[in-house]
Amino acid sequence: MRNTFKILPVLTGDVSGAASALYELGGMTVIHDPSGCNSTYNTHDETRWYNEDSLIYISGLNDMDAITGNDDRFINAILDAADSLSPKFIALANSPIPFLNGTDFEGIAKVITGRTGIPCFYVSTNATGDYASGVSKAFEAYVRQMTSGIDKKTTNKIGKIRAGIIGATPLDFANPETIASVVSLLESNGFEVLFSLAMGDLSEGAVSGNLVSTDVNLVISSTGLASARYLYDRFNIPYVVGFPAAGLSDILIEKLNTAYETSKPCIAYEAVVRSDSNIVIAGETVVASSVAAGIKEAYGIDMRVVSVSDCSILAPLENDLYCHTEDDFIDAFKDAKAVIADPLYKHVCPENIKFIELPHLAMSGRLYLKKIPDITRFDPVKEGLL
Amino acid sequence: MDKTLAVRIKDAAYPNPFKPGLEFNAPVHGSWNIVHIGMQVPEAHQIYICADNCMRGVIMTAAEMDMLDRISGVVLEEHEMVSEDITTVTLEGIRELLGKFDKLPPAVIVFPVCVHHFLNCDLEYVYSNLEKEFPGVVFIRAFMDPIMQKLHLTPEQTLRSAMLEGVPSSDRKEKTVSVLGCDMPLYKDSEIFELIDKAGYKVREIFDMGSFEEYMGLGSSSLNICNYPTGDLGVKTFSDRCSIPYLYLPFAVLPEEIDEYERRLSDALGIELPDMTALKAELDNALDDLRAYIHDKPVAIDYTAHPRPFGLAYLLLEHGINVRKVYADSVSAEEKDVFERLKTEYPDLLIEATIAPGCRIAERKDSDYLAIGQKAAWFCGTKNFVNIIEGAGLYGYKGLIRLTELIKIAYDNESDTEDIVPRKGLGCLSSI
Repeated sequence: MRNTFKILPVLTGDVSGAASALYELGGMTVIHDPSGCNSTYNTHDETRWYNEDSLIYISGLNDMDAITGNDDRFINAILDAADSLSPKFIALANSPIPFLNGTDFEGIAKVITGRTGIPCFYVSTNATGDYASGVSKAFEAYVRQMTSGIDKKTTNKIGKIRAGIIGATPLDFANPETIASVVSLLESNGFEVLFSLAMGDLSEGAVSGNLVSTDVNLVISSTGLASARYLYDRFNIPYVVGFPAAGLSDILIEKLNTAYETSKPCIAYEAVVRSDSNIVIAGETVVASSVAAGIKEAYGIDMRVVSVSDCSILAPLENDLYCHTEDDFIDAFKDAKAVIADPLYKHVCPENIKFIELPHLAMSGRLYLKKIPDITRFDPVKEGLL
Repeated sequence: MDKTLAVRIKDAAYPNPFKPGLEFNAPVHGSWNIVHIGMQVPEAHQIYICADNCMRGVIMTAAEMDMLDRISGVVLEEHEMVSEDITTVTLEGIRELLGKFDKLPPAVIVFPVCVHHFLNCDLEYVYSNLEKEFPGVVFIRAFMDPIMQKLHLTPEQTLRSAMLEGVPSSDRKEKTVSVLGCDMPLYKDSEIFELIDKAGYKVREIFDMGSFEEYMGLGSSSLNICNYPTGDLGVKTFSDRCSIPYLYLPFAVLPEEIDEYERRLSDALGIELPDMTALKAELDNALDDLRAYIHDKPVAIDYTAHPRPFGLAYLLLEHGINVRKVYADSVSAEEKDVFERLKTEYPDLLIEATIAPGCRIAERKDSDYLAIGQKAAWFCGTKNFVNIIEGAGLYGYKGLIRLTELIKIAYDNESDTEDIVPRKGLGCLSSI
């Protein structure tokens, strides 16, 4: 069987995910691509493009350069742009043709760093992964680059527990109120939030020093897990995976305190045991699992999570599912009594089920942008929808 | 002045005023892409065979048009590109997709992509098998291969050709003129409709085709016209194959050129070209009125608004209108002459880049400008703009007179630029 989509769109791709992840970090992201990657990304999957400048470009690769392996044009174009724009870093993203012809991005990154003095790193996309894969790779590459010369974690001298938020992009949190609410929740529970990697007012805080100064990190989507793991492995900064969905925030805060005290990472939504159910919530793994856990905790209602984001980054829990193809989704929804998901999934749901809309930028792009809620406040039971 | 972003025309090189490099994409999307263009074939279903990231843009284009039921995809996985035979993957994918249809569409526009070139996909094998297995379906052989567009044909050119390749020739010619290869319906008050009508011909445009059956009857025209550069190749090839006389009648803006094209049309229709003196005078008056109306308001024109941005600048400048900038990254061969005239006669006219890296951070503070085109509006940061693409069908003298009216309207009225210009495919349904 091939992966065919008759009616559903595919999720935002990995290249766009990489660009989204790095958008607010002051660098320059270059997609080695003939055309289209930037337009697709900025039209459908980037809410900041109109008003907020960020240095994201394509290389405009042509067939002859691809065939002959002429990387000079690519390198020289980057050097020219870097010279005039002085980005804080340069990220290189791959696309299908340079992937197939084996372009040596690691080598090119070294050349660019050597000739500009600007840190340059490779994000190993190839356009076949989903957005979560691209965001995850970009965050990890960025964090590795920014902490490369640092040996150990900075000691806490303030007293408050310092937290970082990892895994924030508009692709999962298009309503900017969501990230503001997460920050507010942490601060109101005594944490000092040093950065949000990488959107919102605290995205500028995601610089080298702060990345190694937190006492605990909160991973609010699967896209942040790889970088949180890296910071844990290298600097012993523990992390908690979970999103402060309605009903789950108290547990999340408790887990953050415990992680700080024990230096052990954990997945917060695992603390709420759910049974299988014909009420289905589809979405990014951490967000959907956290919403489901919160509803179970608050109302005792079970749900089955259908994870739409790359399960190789973070697998869904037992009884939950990962769906990759259109046929997977049809199967996942066929016996459902109610579905909470992006509105486009209605196309593959049976008629006469209860469908509760939870738009997801990585699925429906800007189609339902104005309907995307602050997810910390999303409570379909309280709203009488479920 | 940063010469990577702007250059006085007297100093500008032809055809590329700016050094090539990394490319920025402005948040301005009114121009049509291949999805919009392909939807012109009534009842046809589009199938793309590509990787996830490439698939996303085309499917979402259709989603925003509320046409998800007319597009599908075969997603190429990494292991399929690396370890499998692309010909097999492509054939099986399309076959499986079509197997999901309760009722097959009459036509499928197939879009292989860049990787199909590089992995040496045997598309003849794919199409011959599909045609055997689905004999009632016309397979239109398009491509989404932007890697070829700098040195070969663009995907848009390929598609506009492919869209006509399946249309059969007809021995029975109707007294009809077909306007093909473009995206904007012609302005119905244009004098060319009068010419065609006077000669006793009917006009049919690609937009008038109500069904695939009707579309397949395009081979019965007595004359084909194309007015848009990227349609020229396809319509000419189609016309040659079907032995239909063909005219490329681009959106000329200078009177001598308009006269020439309308003379060619008259000759092809077998009638005498009427005296155009009165129309010319009417246009002159309209332009003079426009100058008086907008006074010294600075004007910027972009290449998406009109296929002849430099010609349009020249026409307006000749009538004293304060055109200060043309947004264009290159100069088309059709505009070489007027480009040279502008260099001599209006040497300080600015050419501004739209894709150079610095365009991303260039200040957009020319809100006092009147813009012709969406890109000019965004780059200037103005709300006074003429919201058109591709010449908006404003053909001939009367088309240009209408354009002067649209400029006056833009002068008088502010538009919500931020809401309008990011919408895809001006003229198509936008569900956002």
